[in-house]
Amino acid sequence: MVDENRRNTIKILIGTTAAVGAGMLATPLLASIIDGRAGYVKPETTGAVKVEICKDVNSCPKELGVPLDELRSGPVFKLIRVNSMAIPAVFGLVRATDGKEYPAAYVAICTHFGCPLNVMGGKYLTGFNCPCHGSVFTVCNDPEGCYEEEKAEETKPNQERRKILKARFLEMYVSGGPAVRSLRSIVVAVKDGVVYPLVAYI
Amino acid sequence: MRALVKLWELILERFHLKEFLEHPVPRYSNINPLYWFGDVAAVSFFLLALTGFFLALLYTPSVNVQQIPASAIMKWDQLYGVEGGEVSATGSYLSVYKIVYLTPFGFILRQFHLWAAYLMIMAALVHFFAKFVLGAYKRRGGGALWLLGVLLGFLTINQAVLGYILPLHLDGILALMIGLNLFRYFDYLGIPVGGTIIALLGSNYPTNEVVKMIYVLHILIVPAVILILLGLKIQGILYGGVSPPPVRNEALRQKMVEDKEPFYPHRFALMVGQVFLQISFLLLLVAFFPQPLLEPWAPGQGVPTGVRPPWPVMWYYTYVKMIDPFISVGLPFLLVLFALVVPLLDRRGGVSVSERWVWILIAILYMAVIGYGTVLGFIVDIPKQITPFTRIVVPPDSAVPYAGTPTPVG
Repeated sequence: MVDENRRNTIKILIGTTAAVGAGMLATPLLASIIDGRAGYVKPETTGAVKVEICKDVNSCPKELGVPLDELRSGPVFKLIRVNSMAIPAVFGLVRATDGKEYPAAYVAICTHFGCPLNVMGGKYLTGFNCPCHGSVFTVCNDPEGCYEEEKAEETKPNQERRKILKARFLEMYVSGGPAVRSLRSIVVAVKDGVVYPLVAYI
Repeated sequence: MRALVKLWELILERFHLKEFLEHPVPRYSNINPLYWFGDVAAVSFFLLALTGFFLALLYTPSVNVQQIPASAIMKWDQLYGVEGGEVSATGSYLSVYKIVYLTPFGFILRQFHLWAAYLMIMAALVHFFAKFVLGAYKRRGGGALWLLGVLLGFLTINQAVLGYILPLHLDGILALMIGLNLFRYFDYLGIPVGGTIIALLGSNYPTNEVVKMIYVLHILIVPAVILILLGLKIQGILYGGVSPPPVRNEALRQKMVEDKEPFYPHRFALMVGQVFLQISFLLLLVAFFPQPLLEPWAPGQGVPTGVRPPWPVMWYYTYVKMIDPFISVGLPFLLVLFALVVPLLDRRGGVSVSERWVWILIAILYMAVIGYGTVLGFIVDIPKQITPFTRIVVPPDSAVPYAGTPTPVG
């Protein structure tokens, strides 16, 4: 007493559903392989997502900026809201080895597992530490870039120890703990004594 | 009284509940503790739903920073060293603070919900282990029930994490931020998880929208899925029976399976007893081990070190701290996948202990992986990676350079 017609209809319905479902699941995966063209927010090669906060300094709203005078007394935390996003930014002045002060801003999310970071340094921004798993980020304050000496066991015999580039200027590199990537930065520009965020990599 | 009895009989008759209530159940599952914990988990789920209804009414999802006025701060609750002044916290924290301290019975309500959740996870873990030991997936229909069980376990842990986030206390915020950023290690494999999270949730940092989404997931979507799967599972057990007793002697096993009693009133009485015992056990836990509402946190505030996750995810915390994150991030998925393929690997032999000791050892090992991580997480705080797994070097194009052009200001 099996109605073959009905059974076939059910088979077709289930088959169509399965095909559509599989397609829906596979599309984003395929899109990620074929250069992410399915309307995704495409990350940079670094895995960071580029977010434009202001087109340029002149059109940036006043409330997004942090006055330099405020920064001179220490790093400042600011929650930047762009569309649906909230970006936890820490603005600060970095004192470089050439004696000058450079304004910089970073996304205060640990690149290890995403915990909120604590700021280190008093008047000047020197680094961040992560309360969760103990990663420490330190700013490279040498305009020539920060180098470290090659390890003794890796040096070839009869050769001087080479210097390896550890971080470029103002890069917030990992100086301890389990994190593997440097902190994500925010491009800043200064106008009329106010530091504005332009582009964030989150 | 007679009218009530008449009404009850009418309901039984009109909705054909007699067939449901009087279906025969085997007697052997009453005495063996390996058969108890599925019930405990299911009853916990309904107790969670009951308390959850009231909590959902009283709770407000919001990350807007508000002040808890000094007059509202409990005298006995020194609130983490803040004396006299106001305490800034998120709107969610404030609403939970109101539930806990300013609502009649609110403290008991939240504590009961919390302890019922812990009990449900514990019972689900023991239930999983018991069915692993019994080889419950070997009988006809058992494989499908096993699959449902693994999915339900995964959803239960998810539900626990989502619920833990909702008060937006410091630990909840950390859990949320880790959850939003943890799986971005998949970006290295070319799978744009970071971009997908932002596309779906709108942010990788807590905002009102993100918290609202988590709220809806916790009170509506995940429980609905759990309820559907649980219904399917109960239906499967009702008509397929529970796993056969772990007895080697075929004749004896057959005899035990056929020794049945009607569900109502025999087993029903036991279940009523179980529900009351469970409620009183939970109330005892609430009375003697009340879990404090953890400290508040607002964006931009410093975070103290030494914050640990609650025990259901402690093992994960331990392993990701010990082992390179590129390897350890996928560990839960690996455990779930292994649990899913167990019925395909373990096919031969009977159901008694002597016939399937290898798989019982594997079951113990499986639980030991979780147990070892949990215990280790509580007794030592691992300072850094201590395992021989070497750290994977970041590919050069994945290193994050400083993006701007440095310009001095003075």
